[in-house]
Amino acid sequence: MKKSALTYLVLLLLNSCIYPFSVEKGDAEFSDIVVSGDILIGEQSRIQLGYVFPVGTFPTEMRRDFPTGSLTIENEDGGRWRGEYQSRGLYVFDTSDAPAEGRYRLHIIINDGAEYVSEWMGVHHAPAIHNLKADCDGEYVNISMDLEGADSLWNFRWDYNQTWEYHADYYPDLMFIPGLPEKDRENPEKIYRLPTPEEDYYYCWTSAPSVEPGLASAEGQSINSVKNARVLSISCTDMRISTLYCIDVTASGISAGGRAYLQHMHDISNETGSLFSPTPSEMTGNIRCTSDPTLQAIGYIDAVCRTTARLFIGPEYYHMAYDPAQWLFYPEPDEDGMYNFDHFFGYASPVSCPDTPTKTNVKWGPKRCVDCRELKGSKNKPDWWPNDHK
Amino acid sequence: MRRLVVCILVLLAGVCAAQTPLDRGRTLNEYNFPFNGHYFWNGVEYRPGTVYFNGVTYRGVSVNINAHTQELLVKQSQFAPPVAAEQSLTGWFAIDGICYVNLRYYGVKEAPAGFWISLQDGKRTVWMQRQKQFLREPGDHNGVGGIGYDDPNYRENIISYFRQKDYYYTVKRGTFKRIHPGKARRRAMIPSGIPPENNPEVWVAREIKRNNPLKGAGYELPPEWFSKNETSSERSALLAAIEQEAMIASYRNKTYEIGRKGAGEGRAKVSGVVRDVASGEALGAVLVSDRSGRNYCYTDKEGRYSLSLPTGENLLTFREYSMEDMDIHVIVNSSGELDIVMREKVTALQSAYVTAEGMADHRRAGMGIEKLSQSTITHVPSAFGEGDIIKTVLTLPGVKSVGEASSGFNVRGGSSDQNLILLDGGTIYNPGHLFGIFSAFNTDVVDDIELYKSSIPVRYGGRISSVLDIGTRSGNAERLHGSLGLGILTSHLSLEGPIIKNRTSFVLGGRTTYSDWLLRQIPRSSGYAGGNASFSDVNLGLTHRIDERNSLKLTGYWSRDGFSFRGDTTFRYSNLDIALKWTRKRDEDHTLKLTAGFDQYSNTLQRGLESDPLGSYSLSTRIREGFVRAGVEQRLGSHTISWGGDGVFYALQPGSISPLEGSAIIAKNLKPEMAQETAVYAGDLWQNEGPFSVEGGVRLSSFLALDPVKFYFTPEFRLSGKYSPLSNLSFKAGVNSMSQYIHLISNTSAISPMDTWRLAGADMLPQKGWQAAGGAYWTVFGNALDISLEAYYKRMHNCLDYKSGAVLSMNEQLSADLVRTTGRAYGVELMLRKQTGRLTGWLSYTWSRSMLKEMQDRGIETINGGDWYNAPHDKPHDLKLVGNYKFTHRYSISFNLDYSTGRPVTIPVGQYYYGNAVRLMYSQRNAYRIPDYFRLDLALNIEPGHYLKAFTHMSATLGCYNVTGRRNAYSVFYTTSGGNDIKGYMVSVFATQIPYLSLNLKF
Repeated sequence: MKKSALTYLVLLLLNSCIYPFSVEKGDAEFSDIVVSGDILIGEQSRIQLGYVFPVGTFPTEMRRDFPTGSLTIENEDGGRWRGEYQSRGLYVFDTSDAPAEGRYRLHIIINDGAEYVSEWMGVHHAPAIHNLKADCDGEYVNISMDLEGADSLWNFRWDYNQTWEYHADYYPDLMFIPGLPEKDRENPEKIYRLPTPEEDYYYCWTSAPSVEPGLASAEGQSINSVKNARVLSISCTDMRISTLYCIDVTASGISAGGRAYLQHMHDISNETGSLFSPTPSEMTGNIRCTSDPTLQAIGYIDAVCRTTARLFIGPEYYHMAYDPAQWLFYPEPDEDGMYNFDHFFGYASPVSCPDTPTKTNVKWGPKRCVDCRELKGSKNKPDWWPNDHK
Repeated sequence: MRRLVVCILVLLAGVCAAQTPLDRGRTLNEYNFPFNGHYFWNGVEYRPGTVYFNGVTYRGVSVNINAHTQELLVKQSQFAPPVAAEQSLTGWFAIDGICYVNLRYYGVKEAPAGFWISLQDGKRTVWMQRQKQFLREPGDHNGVGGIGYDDPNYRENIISYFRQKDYYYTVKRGTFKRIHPGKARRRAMIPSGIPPENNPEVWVAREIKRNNPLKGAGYELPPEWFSKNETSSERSALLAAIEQEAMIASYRNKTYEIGRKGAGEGRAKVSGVVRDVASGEALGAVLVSDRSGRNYCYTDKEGRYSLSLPTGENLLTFREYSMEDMDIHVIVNSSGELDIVMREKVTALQSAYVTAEGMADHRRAGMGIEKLSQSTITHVPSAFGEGDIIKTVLTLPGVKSVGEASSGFNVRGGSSDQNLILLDGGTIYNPGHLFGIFSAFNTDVVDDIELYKSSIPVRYGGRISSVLDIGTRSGNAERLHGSLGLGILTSHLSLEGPIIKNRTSFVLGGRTTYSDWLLRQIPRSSGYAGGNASFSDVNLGLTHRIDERNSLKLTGYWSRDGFSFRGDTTFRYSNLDIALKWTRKRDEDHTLKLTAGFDQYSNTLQRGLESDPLGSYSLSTRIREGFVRAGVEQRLGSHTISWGGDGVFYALQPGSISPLEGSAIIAKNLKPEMAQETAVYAGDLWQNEGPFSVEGGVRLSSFLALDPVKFYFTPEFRLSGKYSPLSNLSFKAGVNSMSQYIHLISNTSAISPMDTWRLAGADMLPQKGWQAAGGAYWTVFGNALDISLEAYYKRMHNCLDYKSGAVLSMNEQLSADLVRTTGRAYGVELMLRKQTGRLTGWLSYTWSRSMLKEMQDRGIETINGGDWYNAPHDKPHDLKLVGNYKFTHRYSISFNLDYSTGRPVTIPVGQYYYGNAVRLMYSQRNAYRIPDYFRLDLALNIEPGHYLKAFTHMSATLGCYNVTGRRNAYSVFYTTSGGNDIKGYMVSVFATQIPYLSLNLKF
């Protein structure tokens, strides 16, 4: 009682609250282009062009329009790598043979005539990734690593790609398909037995790339290493770690300017609003328009080498207090004597399945409990996945 | 033979006279007496007593005393008629342990006839005599507010009263006690409608200006006479009350002659010191004027005043809003001194807020000057009920802030670092506690606060926008007092009293918060657990009066703040100020003030990253300054000339980083900055009884930065003038220029705990500014309503702003991340102020703009393309309504209404994909505004009752901050949360009603 009263009191006093604030679509027009990506030495470089849209524009609208032109990666020794346009403003450069010495820059000529170049950037060698590990604090699984820079490498960036396997709550024996079996006189109940190889929806796989680059700096330190750099935290109830989870971390060294630019971009997009937050402002990158100095390009181009590390996490940290059995039921007809199976056409048979299953003599469950695809996964299992689940 | 007979008869007569018995005197007939039905001092009963009569001590004599004729009445037996003992032979008598002394018998010829009782406080003796007057028409004096002695209910109860501050004392049967009069009794006791000469009973008090008159008199006095009369606290309280009453009454009823007669006609100077009658503390900012009101002056912080008056009869008026008005009749013969005491108003609910100077604006040549008092501050509702100087300052026109939780304030378009905040002469660099929710100043120890927005006196310098000069109290030189305040988040305690009575006094105050403890109590699930936030501060002041002309004041202030809301990062900052001030008043026209001191402000950020132990560090900055300030003020006729000089030595550590345990951070110190700022100044205030007055001055400031050496010299000018065609109407205009050699390095809107200061130098130019202002001041409805209208235009140069992505800490090339801007501000301020009646307060409206422009052309990176942009504190419309409605002397409500335009912000106007997520593109700097601000606060104030026997006195404030619960935006921000959706949010510091209860205990 005393505790709750105190809690109430403190919460009242700390009533510094954050409330939703409507975002209205702006009507500003922009002539700036966005250049994202890095020059990757020793592998394919992927650089994407984009436009700036008024705030509030739907993402689907933003994906319709992209600047196109001619993109070239140049080095001081005269090397040229021309970008191949893929789609949605993405250009791919085969820089797998680019030497890891010298300085590089990106040269852009947009179809409307505007010409941009980035600053000449030296190549930042890849840091070593050590001790990529997962620790559980009871609530979260924290994935971290140590980074050790090369000789002159003091600023780090990392991205990751995560892949995980998961399964449906129940392995179904029967399937009810209300639409297809309309003509199936032999199976008026429209109930079919499972599984068939095509209809095994128990295991699925999915993957997701990192949204934000991880950034760290060892500047000001006596050694150019970063310990326990946090890569990602996953809740212990997150389905990603329910079966088998894999994270591929890709780290690279970047310039101090590049790190400051990305950090600033991150901060003004995610870290504003507190009492002592700096007033947000736009920071200029290292790409400038040579044809019209009043135009600017958003982005910072670095030339980097990358290194990768992989970590698997089993289900040992997963503890989801969820009982899917509560979703299984014997259907009952509605007032018109009809059965609504539009959303419930999976079946789970924990003990046995009757010889002649009907809508009412077996338990049915929602599709998301028996079809892993309902959770945005797919049956596309990576070929390097270490188990034999299908 | 005949000669022999004559000699024998004469001898016998002498012997007979020497042996006159006590009970053989003039028989006194009893007579009717209208008041209380009798004329006796205490009661009608004769009681056994001891009488020293004609050199013989008589014990067990049945005696009483006639308070009408001041005679000792003796009865030989119960039925014998009373006899009035011969006064010239009666030295003293004692009844019930109280001794009544005939002072004339002991050689005090100036004492009125009769018997006196003495009260002592261990040092002085005051003699009291009760006098009853025979009033033939008592009913005539029974009017409203008069003593109701026709009412039988009062006959035995209402005798007389003394009043000391909030307390009433009655004297009854030779004793006294503190009482709490009810409304009816109080009304009855306060004889506002009774002329003194018609008061049926008075106590007369006399202080005999010599050492104990009874000592060495050669006459016997009762044993234990002095020990019996050693004072108790109650007796001393009564003594003080009597003294005060007597002194006040004495001042009011007398006509004082000043100077030597025959000095001729012309003008003469009257000067003196005004003190609080109860505490003996000097009263500053008391308006002293003649009858016309045109000739006036203000007392300085030492309570000194000096006024030139025509010789002859004059009326001197003394006005200070929390004190009772004092009008003194004087006959000025030549220059002389007149010290005055004033008494605090009995009504503890001070009804006026800003200043007692009802006509003040008409009298000063300067403009844009606001004065606040402690009681003003405590009655303006504020969050959590803690009286707050900065928040009260923010209710004044022309003063704004960027949000509710911000430490600083902005005056007339200036940034928060352009305000010089002085506490007893020492500079306070961060005036906020707990993110700015509380100000750094303890109102318990604060005396007077002056804010200069426009006509900044020439003695001040170093900042280009304003000066907030805060003085602490000297402490009660008479007796020990204290106060304790309890609030929801904070507590404060103060003590004050004499170390050497009437010579050396102290005041000690401290505050702390228990927010830390509260934060530890809440569960983790609340989302607030794991943080801490706390502060504390201590004020100490010692005042020593060396002699009538010299005094010393030593003050110290220390504060610390610490908070952490993410377990791995802790912020701490601390203020330290020590100052010693010597005031010497060579004569009434010449005052020297010399102050020396030391200030320090330091802050520390400790980041112990669990995720990156190699990167754990402690980052700190510190600024120290030693200063000496000397100033002389001299009056020469209608001129008041001030001159002096300042010297400030700065030692600034702009950044120091050190590793925490296990960290790989390399310890590093940025190059310290040191500099010497020196200024000399001279100014003159010219004023006479005419409608014009002018004040002007020059301040020559210089700044020498050391290593690398860089020297700046800036002459500053101050000029203001006043024209008063009527006593209640005046017009003013003024212009001043200022310079500032220190910059606050910040890229946040509010003062942040980690903001650093940097000195001007080779790569950082000093800030400069000037302001021109004009105004009209009109007082109407019998001085009840002050109306003022001021307009100003201000320019500022070399103000710092920052480049996008600037790194402000541990940056060896800081100037490369900063940009210089020029600023302009202009506005109009209207203020209506009501200072009398049940409803008091003020309404102010300000329309103003404040804009900045980058001074350099950096091409595409130039802020706003080189055009003007809104300053972060630019809020064009600003409306404040502050008031207090007094129901009774004890109960009142206070309210505070605040409306302003939303402050400028930079918000996203565009969005784009970068990598895998949507990013935001921001507008030009400060191109948009957050929603308008509105807040209403209410408070119920309950002042202490007048319980005479109570040792402590409690007051309480029950209030609610943000009554309407409006969610005022502190800021708005947008986030992509790493995804495709952009979400907008609004931060509201106090998003709901904040009820509070504040208890204050005085003892």
